[in-house]
Amino acid sequence: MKNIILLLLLAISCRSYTQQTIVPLRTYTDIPENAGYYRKDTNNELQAFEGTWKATWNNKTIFITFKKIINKYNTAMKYNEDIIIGKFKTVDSNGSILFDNTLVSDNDAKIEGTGFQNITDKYLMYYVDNDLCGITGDIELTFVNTAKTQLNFSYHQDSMVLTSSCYFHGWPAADRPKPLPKGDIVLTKQ
Amino acid sequence: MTKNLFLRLCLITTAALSLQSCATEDLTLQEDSPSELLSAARTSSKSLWEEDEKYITKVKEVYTKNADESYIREAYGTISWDYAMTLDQFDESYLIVPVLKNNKVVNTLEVFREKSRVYFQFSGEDKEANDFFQTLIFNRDNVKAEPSPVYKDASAKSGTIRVSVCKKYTFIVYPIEGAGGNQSPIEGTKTICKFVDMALPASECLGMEDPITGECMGGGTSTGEGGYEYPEPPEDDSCEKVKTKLSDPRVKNQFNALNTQDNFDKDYEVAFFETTSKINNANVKSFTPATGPPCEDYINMPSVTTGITGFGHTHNNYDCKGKDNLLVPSVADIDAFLSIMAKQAGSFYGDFSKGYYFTVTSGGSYMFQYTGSTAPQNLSFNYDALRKEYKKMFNNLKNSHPDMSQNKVEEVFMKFLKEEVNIDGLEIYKVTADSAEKIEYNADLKTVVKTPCP
Repeated sequence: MKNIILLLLLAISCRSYTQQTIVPLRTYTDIPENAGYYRKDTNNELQAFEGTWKATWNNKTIFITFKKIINKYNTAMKYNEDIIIGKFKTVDSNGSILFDNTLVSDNDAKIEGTGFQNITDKYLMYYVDNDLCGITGDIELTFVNTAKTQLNFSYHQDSMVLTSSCYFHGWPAADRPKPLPKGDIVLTKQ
Repeated sequence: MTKNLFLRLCLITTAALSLQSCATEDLTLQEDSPSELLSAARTSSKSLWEEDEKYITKVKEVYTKNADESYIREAYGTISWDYAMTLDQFDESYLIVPVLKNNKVVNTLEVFREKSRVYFQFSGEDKEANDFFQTLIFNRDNVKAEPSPVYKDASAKSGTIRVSVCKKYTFIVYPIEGAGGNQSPIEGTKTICKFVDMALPASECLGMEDPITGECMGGGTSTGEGGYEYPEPPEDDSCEKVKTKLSDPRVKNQFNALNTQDNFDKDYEVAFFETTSKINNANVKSFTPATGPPCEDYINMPSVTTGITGFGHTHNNYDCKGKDNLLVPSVADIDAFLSIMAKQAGSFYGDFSKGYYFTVTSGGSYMFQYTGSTAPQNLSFNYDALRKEYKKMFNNLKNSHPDMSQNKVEEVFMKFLKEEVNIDGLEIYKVTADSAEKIEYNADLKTVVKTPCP
């Protein structure tokens, strides 16, 4: 009886695994929703982003760690895909921690990739920080050198309407949290 | 001097009485044949103003079908439909009509529409309205219309309808031939206003109910949900509400001030707030401009949001680093609209749909309106999760369509609104200063459907 159950489970798991239709990461046509598609990093391009990167701007230093996540379900696009997630720690010139989300779970990472952009070859990520009143923004990553040890990090923060429920509502612009460098900055692999 | 004044007063009285007696004969003829009056279509409006003829005609149909006419005539009098007025309401929502007995306006009948039901309410207590109709019917040549006040408002709260529209008219007494003396026409301006909360008659009774037993004393009864079925109600009241907002010259001016290339080229957002305050029990609106700091990516709502019922802001084309901005509303916009404008509109007007929120961009301007029945503050959804879904969807679009055409951006936003936000009654319109079209997402066809407001 036990063997039968095991065989059944094996059959089901094999079936569900084989049901996935693999398409390359650089697929730019519409992928049917909830139809078992898996946008896979078939050329292993995401590997190069993995690791910890560092940059300094305005007397602050950021340490950002990228990690590849395999076969994750995209709740908005409704298919599975391979992505890069990012966690970072920002410190001031004295080493005091300004922002640190390195200990959050992979599922709660504030930076998540969405793929390579058609034509431009940039890898796009988004940043959503619900601990900072829902700040959101976009990140574009581009390797600067062929050795892939330097990475251009281009961050655009979205405009937002701030209500008084946000703790930094009404603060002077200079005092507001600026967790990531706006504009372009080069990260160096550690 | 006193003698002259007394003489003139006498003349005025005489003139008024003689004019009234002249008109009486015509009217008596009408009262003698009430069934003819009822069955005939409203052949010509005798109002001083343009009226919602469609509504008046349809209400007459409902009345004819349901009313116990002999009872109504006995209890209240004869309804003089030709004098029906809709008080600047053109959305098939309201009318008031005089009811005569013995050649005197003794009652008015008001008919309110709520969706597909109409509610009839007789009243003999509105002396101002009775006097107005008495003058209009019996001294028709002695009254003339005056421009209506700019401010008008119609708001409703649960179970009641408030119609606060004022119509001005001038009453003129002309010199009487042969009376002698140095006479000139005497004019006085009067105003007819409906400015009170009126409880909707919740029962099925077309006439009055027995105050003790609550039973219908006659006049006609319907069954079920109260009121009477109204044929072919307007399909989209929401459109009317949008048009009403845009037709307010103050709102239009604010919108036009935002909708400029100069603003779209700035590296910060420009905005305005509409604040509603209660002054002498009336809702009075004021408008305040606002801007975000240069080269920054936020704009502050006021700390105190009480009374903020409207808001408009730009999404400029680029930030100060030259990066593209999304030219559609953000999750923060949806949050601010529901938690502030729609909620405050509910508090001040008893109607969430009075609140509005513009996102004005070079790719088009969008306006939120909430017509849901659930109070916005009681809606439950996870903004934290929504922000992520929003970013995933738009980043995916950026990946596949780097040019980010406005049509595609709009399509993704509408899909997001439909499938991720999914709030009943949260409506969005693409607007200009003079037009509006409702935009929706058809999930089956995966397309945006735009329906122009008529």
